[in-house]
Amino acid sequence: MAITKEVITYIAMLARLQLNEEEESSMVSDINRIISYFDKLKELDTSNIDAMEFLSMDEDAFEKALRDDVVDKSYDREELLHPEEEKGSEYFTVPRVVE
Amino acid sequence: MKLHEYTITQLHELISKKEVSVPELTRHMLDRISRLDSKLGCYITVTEEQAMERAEKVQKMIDEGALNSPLAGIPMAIKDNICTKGIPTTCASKMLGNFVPPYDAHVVKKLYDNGAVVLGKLNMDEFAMGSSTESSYFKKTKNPWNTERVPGGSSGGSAAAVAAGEAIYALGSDTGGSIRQPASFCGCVGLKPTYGLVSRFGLVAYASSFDQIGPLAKTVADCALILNAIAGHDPMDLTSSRRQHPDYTKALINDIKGMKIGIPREFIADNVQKDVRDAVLNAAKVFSSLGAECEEISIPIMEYVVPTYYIIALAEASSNLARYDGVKFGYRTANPKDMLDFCMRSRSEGFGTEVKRRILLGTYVLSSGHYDAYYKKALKARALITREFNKVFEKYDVIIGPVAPTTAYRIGEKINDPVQMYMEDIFTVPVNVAGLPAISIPCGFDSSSLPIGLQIIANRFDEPTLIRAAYTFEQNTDFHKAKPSIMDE
Amino acid sequence: MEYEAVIGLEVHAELSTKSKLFCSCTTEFGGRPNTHCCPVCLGMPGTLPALNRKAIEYTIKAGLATNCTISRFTKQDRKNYFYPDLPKGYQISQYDLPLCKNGYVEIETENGKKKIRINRIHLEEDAGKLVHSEYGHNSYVDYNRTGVPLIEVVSEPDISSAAEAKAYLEKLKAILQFIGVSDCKMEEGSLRADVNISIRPKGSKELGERTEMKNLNSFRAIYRAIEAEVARQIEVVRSGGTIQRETRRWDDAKGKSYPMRSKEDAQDYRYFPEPDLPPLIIKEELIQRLKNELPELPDARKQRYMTEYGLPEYDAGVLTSSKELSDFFEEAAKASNNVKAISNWVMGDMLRILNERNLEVSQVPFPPAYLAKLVALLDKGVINGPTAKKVFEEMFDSGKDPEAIVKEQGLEVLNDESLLLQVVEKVIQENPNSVADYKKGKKKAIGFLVGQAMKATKGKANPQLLNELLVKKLEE
Repeated sequence: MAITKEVITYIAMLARLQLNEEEESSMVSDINRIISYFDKLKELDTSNIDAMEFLSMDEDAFEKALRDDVVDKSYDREELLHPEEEKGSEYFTVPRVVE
Repeated sequence: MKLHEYTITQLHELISKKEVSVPELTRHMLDRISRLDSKLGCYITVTEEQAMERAEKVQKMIDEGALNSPLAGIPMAIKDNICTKGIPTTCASKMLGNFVPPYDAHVVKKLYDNGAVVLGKLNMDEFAMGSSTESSYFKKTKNPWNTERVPGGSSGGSAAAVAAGEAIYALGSDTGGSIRQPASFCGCVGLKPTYGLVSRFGLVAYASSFDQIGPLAKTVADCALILNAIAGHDPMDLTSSRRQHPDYTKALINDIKGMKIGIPREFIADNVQKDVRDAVLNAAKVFSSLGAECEEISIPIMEYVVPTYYIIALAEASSNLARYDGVKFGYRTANPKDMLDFCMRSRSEGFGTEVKRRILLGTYVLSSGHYDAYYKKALKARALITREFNKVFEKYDVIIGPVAPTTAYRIGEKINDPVQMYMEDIFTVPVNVAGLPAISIPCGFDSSSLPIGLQIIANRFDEPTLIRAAYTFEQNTDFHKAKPSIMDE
Repeated sequence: MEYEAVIGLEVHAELSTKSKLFCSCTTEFGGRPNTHCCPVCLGMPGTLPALNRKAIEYTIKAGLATNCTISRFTKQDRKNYFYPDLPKGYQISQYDLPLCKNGYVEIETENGKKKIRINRIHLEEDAGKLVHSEYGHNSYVDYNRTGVPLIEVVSEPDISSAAEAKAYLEKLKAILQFIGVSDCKMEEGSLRADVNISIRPKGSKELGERTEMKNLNSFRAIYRAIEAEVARQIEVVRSGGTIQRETRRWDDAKGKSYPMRSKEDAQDYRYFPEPDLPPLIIKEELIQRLKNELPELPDARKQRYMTEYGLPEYDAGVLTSSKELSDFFEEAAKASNNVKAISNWVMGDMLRILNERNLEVSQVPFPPAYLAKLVALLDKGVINGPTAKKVFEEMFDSGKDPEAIVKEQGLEVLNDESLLLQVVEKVIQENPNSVADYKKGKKKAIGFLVGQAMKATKGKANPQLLNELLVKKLEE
């Protein structure tokens, strides 16, 4: 099944990417080629395989891997704000968001 | 021999014996960078002032006996996707051109603890997405052996800097071969540790379940020293292993008698450039002559590894790169119409084509209706591939093969063929898919005198065996001694 | 045709951990904008989440307290969407393996007890806050709340009215407060609810198309929004329309809801397992330990009040509706031997005063033992009923010990017979008409005379004694 320009437009919107016409047509052809290469995986028999098998960890993960609930000092706001924020700003500024 | 030609081990001795001072050594390296880097393009940022200040401080601490790490005072450089407090960390992207992290990556802290002197930040493919360092927004890095050739990637700046003596060693990151392949192309040693051995905290994420930081250096021994410094559990990275790691220099043993080595048939097939294949087969002979048992094996699942890798890696990447929306950090578009426009344009203007392509692919394989067919299927395939490698390591200590199907190719030669580029990761990605450690060491030269890398792969957390095999090969061959002519400049 | 409402609630409660879900920043409410932040909760490049153990434990406790099954294998997932208050471009949540599943809570309805089933409870991170200026083209983002742990409690659509929804939410809130996992302060946004509403012909088994109502930040808003939405849906259907599946925003000031502007794209959250956090195996020992740590739950406490203190079911229910109220009552009851009186004071005057003064139980300025003292003063006849009410108000003003108030202001009951006799004689003299009425058989007239006598003693007379003396004098 070929991936159409419409599908790419939808995916680009999900990913918040704007493509110009030239980019869009080259993406459509590249992505079709790559996805059809990915389709090779369909040949592989993976019945009875648990998708979480690789990610699963040892039994002691819970006791050892988690962080204790301890508060540490936060950062100074000046170190965190976007470099383009005006001096003295307390916030991150974005275009007005209408709900 | 000039200072930049020495290994860490040798420089440590010179510093200890006060035959060279840290500021002197650092000055030498900085001069070299300012003289040569316009030709090679290894660095995105050179931190000259900070490096000299740091060199003085480290020298003082050495003199006071407060620092005795073998890395103390050794000038090094860091791939530009590893966060350094107060030093720009750009990921070679326009998107992060203005990003100065307020914190240090775990590995950077560890290196500072060991007295490292940071010379600067190294070029790479944008967000580590590529294998030629051509997708950097800032510059193209040239291969020190032949400046018309790519240095490999994505840690191309790291490998080229080490090979050209612009850093004594470097840190790189390896998601699908990004340490080993440039090490192979530039004729240095690059080690990709077991997933979870080195903390990823502070490594700008490309594909979280594959990314791993590792060293690039002149010798196996140097890599062992660096690994000693950066390995170990970090409570900030819940995927980092809690097991106690051994002293890797104890594995620097010139003896592999009785070691069982597997050479997968799939690694030496027709798709491999002939002189690369010959060099690998010759390496097998070297191992046999030193008393190892080499056997050809087969890992049929190999043909599914590249799609498995790309599906999972790009899915993760599409999500990891969602944070770049212009709001908190990174590139912000000018005069947006509204919030949507602000986000869309910041992203579209900030990311390069390869990054966009990968985000789109990753978004596609996760999107409704395709998740099961691609992403979930790939997770299952990953489990199967891992099982296959587990089986191999029940019988064999290490696997050997080429790092890449070819030696360094011409700049611009493959940039327009993404599928071809993806497929050439065939020998490096299995290691990331199964979370294994692997190393690239010099094992020959092709007909154009470009270096060829030998890849050695070991079982999870069996870096000692990996290092021992690599060290033995290195000690019994001369390939690592050859240097590009730029080393003399 | 008669219609019935089918309602499900998605309740978000912020957990009362000290630090955030994935970093060590404080979860404290308030603070200057963007001062409870660090590279991790801002989603800075290179940062990774370090999951808070306590948040996992609290979620499991919430599940245990609501009769859920605790998952033995669980993981975090990424929910991907773009919004400026979501720093990473994804929320770390739980998709197909939530920590808790298949529970229920029991509520009281007009028709008796009813079980509201809980589909799941999962753990996730809160987002930041957008501030909109009155003028200008910008919005401003404050990430202080970003990464505060939340549980989402998803009910089955078992609720049939606004009253039931309110009862369910009150019960859930009481449980979470009792087990100490959330302070459930709606005014600080630490308890929020989204409501899914549909209607169907009475008796039908099928589910109609539902709408989701957002921006409900008080019990009153939830109640009113449900009433209004059910009425709206019935109106739409009766006039031949169909219900659109949509998200609506409740405007509490206007008492109306509005469809929210449709998003630019379809919702496709592309959930996948969070690769930065390994899946968790929850061991039986942990579940047992947390079970043992659970305190007495509201229902159990209510039962105990009925058996131990002999309180009526209604009273026991009111007293256990919030942990703070219940704890206050219980402490006062322990210091008193008249529990019924304590219960009446708490449920009556105390709740009234709190309501009038817009106070929380935690803001009561005196310890519960003072209420016990007040009851004792009354029981011993040191003060009379009306004085006690005055003293109680005074306790809310000053926080003072009731004994001190009575002493300082000389509020003790007048028991001096000769003094009271003088007052009685004076009242009889001054009110010959009422005396005549009484003597003609209008026994009610004595009320007026008692009132006059009481007034003359500034309300301090022992009313019983006063009454006796008056009757005796009149009968003479």
